[in-house]
Amino acid sequence: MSRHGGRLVAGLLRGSWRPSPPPLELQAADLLPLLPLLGRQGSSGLAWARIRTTPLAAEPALAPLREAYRYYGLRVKVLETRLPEVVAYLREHGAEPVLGKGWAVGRLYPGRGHRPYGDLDLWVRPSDHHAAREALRTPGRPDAPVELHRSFKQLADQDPDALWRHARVEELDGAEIRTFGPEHHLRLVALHALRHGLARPLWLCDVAILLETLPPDFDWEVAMAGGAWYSDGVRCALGLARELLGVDLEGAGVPRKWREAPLPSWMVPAALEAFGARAHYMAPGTPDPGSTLLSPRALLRVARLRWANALEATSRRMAPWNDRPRLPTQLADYLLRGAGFLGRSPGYLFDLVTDRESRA
Amino acid sequence: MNPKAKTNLLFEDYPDETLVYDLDRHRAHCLNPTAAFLLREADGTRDVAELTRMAEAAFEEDGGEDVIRLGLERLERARLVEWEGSSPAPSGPSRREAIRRLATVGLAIPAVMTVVSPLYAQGTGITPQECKTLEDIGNCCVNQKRCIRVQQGKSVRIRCLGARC
Repeated sequence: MSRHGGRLVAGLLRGSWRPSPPPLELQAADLLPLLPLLGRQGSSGLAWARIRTTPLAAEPALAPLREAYRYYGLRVKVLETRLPEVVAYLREHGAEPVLGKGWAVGRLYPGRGHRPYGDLDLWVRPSDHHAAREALRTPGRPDAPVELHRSFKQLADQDPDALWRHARVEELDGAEIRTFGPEHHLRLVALHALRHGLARPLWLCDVAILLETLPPDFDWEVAMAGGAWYSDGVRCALGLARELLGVDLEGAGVPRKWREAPLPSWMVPAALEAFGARAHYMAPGTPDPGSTLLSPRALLRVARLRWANALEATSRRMAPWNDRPRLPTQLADYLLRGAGFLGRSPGYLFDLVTDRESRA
Repeated sequence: MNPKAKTNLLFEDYPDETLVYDLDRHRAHCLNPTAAFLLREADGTRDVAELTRMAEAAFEEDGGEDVIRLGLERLERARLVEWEGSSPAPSGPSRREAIRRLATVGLAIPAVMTVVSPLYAQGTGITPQECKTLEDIGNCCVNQKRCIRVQQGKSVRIRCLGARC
């Protein structure tokens, strides 16, 4: 699969976030081998959105895409029901959360089934973090998967007060939900996609839809202010959205200096390989390495999956976004993560052994 | 004794089916229009005869109480409908015989299918039983493991490591 599969996925997802996607040139025979890949990546909903107005929608073999779209829609509706409860609950406990990713970007898509998400990523100001964390540990908290952040790595170069000042209030079923300002949100979403090596192509679709729905008062100076490495990463993500998904950066109003700088030559091939990768450690059901310590074969399998692609390794190690070969960065990343894992493994081992004994 | 739909259900309607999510049990179900109609109308005040009349009027088809009973039985098995006290004992012919007979009536036989994360929808990344806080210890988590406590020096982490659930 790999790079060829990645090209097919990119072609399929091109424009899939729009209410009227562009015409599709792929045939059912091209799509069938992609089904498991799309499922693992959470892209089945976008794939269905792309084909549902074409003759391919009547193809019985592609019905799983429609089922996935509906299922995603239902799960998103569940989380949309929970989100106002969680926000109100945190407010009652003295913390005002700001939402990023998830619903904050999912709401921009034409349908709920387009863009699945699994939890609610809530950021609170450092001064509110303790109250929020304690509230979420209290029995009786809303029944929702919440990931509470004191900081996002992708926004580590930003002043928390500025993040707060630029935050916007959106409405969900009459409830006020605070989300990151569009400038910071674009930054977050773009750098998050790179951080995980584009393991889910829909993250690049998030960048695309944000670009195509920028508010009239969007301030590119704010969006690109901050650490040079971070801003360069955002520029790369914008370039990938153009190269892989056909986003018109000029039409989106991206200033010339941010849209014309060339991408490093390794970047598009690395992204295509990520789009077409058969397996990834973030895929549902992939075991945690710590849980495989007593099974060498499983450990080897998991260890192989932990080799980061060039995008992920560059992002995690904050290596320059330049044309230099990526192999040393990937190797350094692998060794450092491996060393970290080895340091933690006695704890995992102890736990596994005691757990095994308790079952015996 | 009247059937009553559970509360805390979320509906998502499509032209050919309705998806229902049980917010208490975290289960999704796929219902055909007849079953969805029954679930919406079974409010505890209507008996089987009344639900039958309503369904026949809504779908403009003949059905009979056997169809409605079968639908309610399926909804009850999916824990979407409750009967106050115990559910009424099945009367008349065996279920297989009833289904064979029902195949000739106009009203579509209510169908209820429990959805367990369809294969091609796996990428939701939703794991309601995540290992994040001390409260999660002992809960099932991804890969049918259990959340357990892992001590690392002075810090404690909650990991998805334990025995199969």
